[in-house]
Amino acid sequence: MFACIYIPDFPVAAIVRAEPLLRDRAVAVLEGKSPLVRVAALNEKARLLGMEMGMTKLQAAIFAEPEEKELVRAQSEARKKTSHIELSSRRVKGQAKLTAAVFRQRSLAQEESSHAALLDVAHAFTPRVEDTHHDRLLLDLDGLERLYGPAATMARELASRVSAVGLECNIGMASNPETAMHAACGFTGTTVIPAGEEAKRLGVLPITVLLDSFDIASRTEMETSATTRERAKLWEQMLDTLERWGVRDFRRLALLPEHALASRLGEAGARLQRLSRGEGMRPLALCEPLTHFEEAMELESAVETIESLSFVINRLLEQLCARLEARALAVQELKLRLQLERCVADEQTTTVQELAGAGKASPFSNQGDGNLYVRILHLPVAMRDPKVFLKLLQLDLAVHPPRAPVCKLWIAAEPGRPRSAQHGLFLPITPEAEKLEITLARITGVVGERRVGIARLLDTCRPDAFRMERFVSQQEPSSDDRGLTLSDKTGVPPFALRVFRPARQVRVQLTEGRPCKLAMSGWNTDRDELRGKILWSAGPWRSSGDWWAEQSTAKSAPEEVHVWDREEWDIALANDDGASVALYRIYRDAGTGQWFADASYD
Amino acid sequence: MLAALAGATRRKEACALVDASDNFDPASAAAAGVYLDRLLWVRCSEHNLSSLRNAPRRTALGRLEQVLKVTDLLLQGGGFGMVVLDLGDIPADSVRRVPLTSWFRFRRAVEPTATVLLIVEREPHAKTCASLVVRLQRMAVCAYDSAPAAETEFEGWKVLSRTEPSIPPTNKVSHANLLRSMHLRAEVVRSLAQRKPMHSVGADFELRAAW
Repeated sequence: MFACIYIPDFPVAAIVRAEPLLRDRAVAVLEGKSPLVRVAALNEKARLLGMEMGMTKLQAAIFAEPEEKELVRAQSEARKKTSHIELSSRRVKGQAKLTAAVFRQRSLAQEESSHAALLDVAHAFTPRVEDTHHDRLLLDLDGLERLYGPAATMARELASRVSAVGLECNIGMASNPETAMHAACGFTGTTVIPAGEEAKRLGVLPITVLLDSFDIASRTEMETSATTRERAKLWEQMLDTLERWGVRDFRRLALLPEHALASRLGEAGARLQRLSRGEGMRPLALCEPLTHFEEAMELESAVETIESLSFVINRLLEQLCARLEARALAVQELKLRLQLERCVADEQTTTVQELAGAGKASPFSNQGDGNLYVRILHLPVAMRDPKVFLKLLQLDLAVHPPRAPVCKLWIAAEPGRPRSAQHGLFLPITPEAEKLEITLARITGVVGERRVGIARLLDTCRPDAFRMERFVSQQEPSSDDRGLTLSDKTGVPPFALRVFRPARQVRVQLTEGRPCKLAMSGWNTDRDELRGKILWSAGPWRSSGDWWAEQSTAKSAPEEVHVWDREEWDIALANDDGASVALYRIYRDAGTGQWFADASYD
Repeated sequence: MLAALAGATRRKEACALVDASDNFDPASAAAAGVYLDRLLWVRCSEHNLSSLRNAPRRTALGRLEQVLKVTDLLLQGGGFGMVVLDLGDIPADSVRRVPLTSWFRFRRAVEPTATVLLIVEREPHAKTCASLVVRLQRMAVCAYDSAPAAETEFEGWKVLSRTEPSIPPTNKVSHANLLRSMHLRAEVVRSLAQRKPMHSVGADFELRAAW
């Protein structure tokens, strides 16, 4: 058994998928550059209004605000022109609500996303899928009756899954792929044609359905535009010939004598006749499942505020998560690309060429090349909740907002296997991964980047050497393979240091080479705790290092390498007012000769 | 504070430290037995303009505001076995300005959970919102000194100088001096779990140097 998923008026369906509110409106998709803008696709409601393919924008504009009498005239004319005959449909096609038409510019990015979503649904249903055309797929459902049930149930299940990704489709099922495709393209809703009844059921379909699918089947990837025009001209001639003969549907074509038809129309005519009888069995050209998940949207007008952008991002995230869910995948990394209305200089822009977009993109996560703004979210665990992603992106954009209005955006997801966690009654409590990510993003917005996370000690003798890393909620407690610490060995907890960051510059008075008095230097001399007589001192202990490494620059991260050469002292300092005594660690920088208070003992 | 964090992380609980003055020393914590990969460290600072360069200046918060906001977020997020607020270096008069409603809100947030909210500060500011208040007082510091000086007393705080047997008493070598240990006294000031006893309840304990 084969099935065909067909999306009627695919360019319109791609637009409506991104803007569900247009589902009940008459929509016309325009294509081309001004002044050659023409109607490229229409939905049924727009056709009922009287609009036609190929209309110029000016001609189509009159349908934007139709008068009542014009409405009736357009409706009656539209009834004469329609050639679709409904035999089996899952929804009643009544009087369409006639409203003013809505125009949208054609978006190839959205069509690509919609087609990718359709492929995801198909691959989740069966591994044997043919990517026939951008608006139709063929599926081999052989052997799936045990899994999904009889053919009618399978068709309904397939239709509901396609609907879940935001597309309305027609489903045709038959014993051969060509018949399934004709049924999907000709009939609305789901159609199941039992074996042996192909000719009878297909008989009422118009000949244009046959020629359209035959045209698609005969296209090749390497053909040129000249070949395409030539083929289009051939089909036009064939259609004219058949219409002059009075052949307007499948049944009449099937009844024509074979040899006479072949002699008049050639091999193509003979093949057309076989197809009109429902005969045909060609193998499917199977395609591989997609590994790239991306949704895109072009905005009619540029958006300036993050709140407005959030609505669009939410829609794209829901579509993306629906596609991933259909394939039983989750998101490991999320990449948001925003096309800005105009080029914007940032901290990494140094030349006019870069501003114009001629320079290379930055190698860092947050790269941009003038009018493209990129944000990447690395997730510690694979997730699938669109609300969490929306919140994380909102928090990120609040801290790093784009500097210009946004006119187009893409969201790409790096897929990963969804995590599975087994909870236990006696396991220690840990934060939930999704909630933790949002909490960390909010905290980052308060305290800044690189100031939230875990501290990873570096393998060096340099004082205060550590690196901030991401905090990950450990659902499964890690093993205690750290080794014995000082408190484990002695049973007594050690001193703790309270480090001053940055180290505080002080003035030290020496007597016989030992510090005897301390005071803060610089303008901030009102800190009483670092001023007074040194009662006791121990030192100096000299240490130095990293003189062999490259010099760090002013823009380096604090944990990066830098040379140090210091002479440390532990001191007991009595404050000037005599109120308290405290223990400090001070050091003299051998390079500059300046003294600093490094930490206090607690 | 480090001992409490060491105990919690040893029990494989996720912990959080809200460091108001960015004083936390990871090396000391690791020596004390804290599992650093289970400790979320939030480093507050006075001016975060370097990281908030794209945000308006008015959004840069003071340290205390950052501490309160971050604590609120951590408690609302939940899932932490212990959340520590280190206000040890914040002047007492600044912390005194924190409204009592904030402490009540924190108490309300942790009460139904298994999370322990530990606040390290110079004076007890949470008042009745705290379930347990412990005063820690440093009683003495022991150090090895090459010159066997007399005991030095200073306002009830003693530095005892003792000679190391291997160092000759006449050898005044400053780098032979070493901090050795610290004696502390912990006293329960208030506890909601039991009524205040007739006499003070406390304990003495010792901290050792890592060398």
